[in-house]
Amino acid sequence: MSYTQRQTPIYSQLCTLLIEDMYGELPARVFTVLDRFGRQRRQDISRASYLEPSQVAHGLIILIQQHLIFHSPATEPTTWYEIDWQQSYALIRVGKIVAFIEERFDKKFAYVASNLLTLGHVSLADLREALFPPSEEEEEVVNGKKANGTKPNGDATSNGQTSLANGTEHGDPDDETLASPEELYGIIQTLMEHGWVIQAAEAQYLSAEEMHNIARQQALNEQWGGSVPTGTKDKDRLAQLIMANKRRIRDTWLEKPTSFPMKRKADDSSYGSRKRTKINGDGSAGGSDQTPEDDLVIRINPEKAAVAMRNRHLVSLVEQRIGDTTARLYEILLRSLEKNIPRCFEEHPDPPPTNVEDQPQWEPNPDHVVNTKDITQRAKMLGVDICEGLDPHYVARVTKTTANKEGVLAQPADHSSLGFHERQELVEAHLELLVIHPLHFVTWHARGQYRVDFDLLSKSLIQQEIETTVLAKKGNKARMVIRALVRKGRVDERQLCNAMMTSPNDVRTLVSDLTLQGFVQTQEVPKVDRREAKLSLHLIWYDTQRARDQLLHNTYKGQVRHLQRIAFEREKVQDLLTKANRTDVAGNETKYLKQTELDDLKKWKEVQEKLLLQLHRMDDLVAVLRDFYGPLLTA
Amino acid sequence: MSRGGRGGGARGGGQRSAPGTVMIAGTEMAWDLTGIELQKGPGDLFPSAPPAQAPAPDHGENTTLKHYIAIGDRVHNGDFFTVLNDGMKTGLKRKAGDMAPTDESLFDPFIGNETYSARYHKRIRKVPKLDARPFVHELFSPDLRRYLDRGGNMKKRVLAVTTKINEKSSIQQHIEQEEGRAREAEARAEDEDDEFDEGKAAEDEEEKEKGDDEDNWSAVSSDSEEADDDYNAEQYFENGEDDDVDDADPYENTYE
Repeated sequence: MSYTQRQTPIYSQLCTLLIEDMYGELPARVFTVLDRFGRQRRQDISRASYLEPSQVAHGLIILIQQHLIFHSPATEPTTWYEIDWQQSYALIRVGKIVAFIEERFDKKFAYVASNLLTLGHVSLADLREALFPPSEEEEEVVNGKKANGTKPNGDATSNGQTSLANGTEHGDPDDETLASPEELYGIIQTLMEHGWVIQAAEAQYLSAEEMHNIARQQALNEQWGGSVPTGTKDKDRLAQLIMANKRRIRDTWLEKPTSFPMKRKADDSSYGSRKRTKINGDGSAGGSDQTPEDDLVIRINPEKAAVAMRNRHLVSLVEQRIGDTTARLYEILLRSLEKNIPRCFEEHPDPPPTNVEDQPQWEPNPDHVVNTKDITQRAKMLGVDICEGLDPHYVARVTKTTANKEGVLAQPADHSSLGFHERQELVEAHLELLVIHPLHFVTWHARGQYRVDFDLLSKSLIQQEIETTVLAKKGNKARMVIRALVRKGRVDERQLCNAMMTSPNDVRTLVSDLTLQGFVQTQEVPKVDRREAKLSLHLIWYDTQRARDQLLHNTYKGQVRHLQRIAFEREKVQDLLTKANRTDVAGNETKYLKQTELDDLKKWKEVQEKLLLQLHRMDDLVAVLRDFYGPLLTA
Repeated sequence: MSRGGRGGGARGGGQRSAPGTVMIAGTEMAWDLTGIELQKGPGDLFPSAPPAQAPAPDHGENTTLKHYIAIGDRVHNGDFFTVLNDGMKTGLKRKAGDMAPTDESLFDPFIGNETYSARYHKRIRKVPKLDARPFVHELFSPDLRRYLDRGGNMKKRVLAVTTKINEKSSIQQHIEQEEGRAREAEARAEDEDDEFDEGKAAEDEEEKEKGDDEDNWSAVSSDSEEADDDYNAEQYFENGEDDDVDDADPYENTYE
């Protein structure tokens, strides 16, 4: 089974609650049936459920539209449905994705992304028509001509824009709505370039098993003419080809079409002139300019959120441990890499070779390398005070100012007046702080180049998270146990006591406690052929993957409790919410709602936000534990 | 001086030891305890221990919450959101012994009784409305595609997008509106003459509201199609369908 598609009862409960919270009861009910019986046909679902067959079909349509389930390809005679666990959980991240996009681009991008998340996959033509209704646009074309006649002094460049903005019934084109279809195309193109939006494809609906079968069949057809190879070497080769095919299928989704109608952020005058020619041309062609990209079906890339979350987590760690300025520079560094990183870890890596000597040399990923020059320039653009947070002596030497004996600069160094080389030296000094940190936030790569070893970092982040949890739950001694076990491997009690320099009585309680919590494993190895406590070895060991799963499980549980609590709190004010949403009340709240009711509404909003906040913070933890790094294999 | 200590304490601090010293078990200590209140009684058995509070959301988290709630609101108001309200927890078939929940058992006698204002309630869907938006048929499995085209809606299908970039959640709107009203009221109160009795003002307001209400009632009846049919009791409590809903619409929206 695919690593990302594992599922436990508590996880399925969490996903069901998320779907019910977002899309209502019908899809959630269908989801529970699929959860209970696994991969099924539609008839089977109807048979297992109390719902009508047509209700089941409607539920399935919603689930498919939002990519929450897989279905077998159209070429198969029967269609099977299966839950996509990764995507179902990703519902919790919709707010995060939009917030990330808003942070990186601007509000309009966030607006497009938020609509895409609400609608599931959409074709570009439909989206354009919804945002710029063609009929109104044609009317506007006529009106626009009239406006030209009555307002001769209206400047020609902005004329096309305003007529379109009126088409969507909002006056202020700069802030409230998108100005033109070209702007929409530009936004989507940029989002696709950065990997936030991908093409929707049929292959995305293939479950892990079907994907494997298709990739295998492809490999067999290409190399062996459809027959299954027998030799060991051929089998290894087949396994490699299967993975390569899977990666190839997946990478086609990320491609963006080569010719978008417009380049993004062309200046407004060229927008206007284009629109003007269109307006003056014949109306029908201007109303719906058919482009080949209209067939493009797009959706938000769910994997990208984890990349952005990883970057944010790393930056906040640097902020806590090193300093603000270094953190800003690190953020710049990570953002410059982000465009090239579509996902946190490779889900379909090449299978490891059978004998150890064939192990390929580890090579750094060229996508994770940055030039200090770029960072320096970007930091100058953003106006980061790079003189902060460094050794004053060093700054003084670089900036050629004088420092007195106490290490205080004679006069404050002005970062904006520095020359390029001085700047670069200071930036490298910051990066050096990141290099020497025990977590190795960046690594020296070549002269003027640094790289980020995300895999190593992610692994230590997981370990950190586990240790922090153990520290908070059981105290310092328990964390020492974990650390000693990480260092020493599988040991018996005496060895552990020696390693920790503690008495057995202290260690024993801690170990049994941690074992009960699932962070530490014990093992009993008999020395004789009977199973007797005195004649067996009692070993204690720690496995990061198990501890990670345990902590993940606990986090899911916490999230389920939060969702249940939200439902309960909503139940308490349900009558009030019904009243507030009445059609006559909406817009006339002042008339129909009492002060106490408004207070209750406010209180409910606060409660909801507080609970959702915690839910999202737990999601951050889930991302650290689950999404930054693939399965940790231990011998 | 040496008589301070206990005796002094018992008489309410009349004869304390010299300032800057304290008497403990007959020994004078040079500790200055002025300004410090010593707890003499036994400690609380159950001292109040307020639970740890989560830190307040930062800017990014606030944005996340705003967008999450906005998307949730939009989906809930959209065509896909359904509430079955049939008393079931999962979609699985009932066990042989289990009785299906009846309408009577699901009925809430306190608020379930339909009143006139039910016509204003937000419509609750039991089946999602699929004929309003376009679908990309190739991405659906073949046996579901026929459901996508169903429905008597002859209108062109258009995606339901929001037109506002800076949208707010409905509750936020309520609250802001209320705050705005409070501010207005304050401003008005300041403008008003001092001699104007407050009670009288409230009365006035009430009267005004009543008047508004009446206006509203008449407006509603004149708006509806059956304006001339107001006295027809059978049609009086119509089930609140929107007037623009096509009669042939198979996804007829009903109240629970």
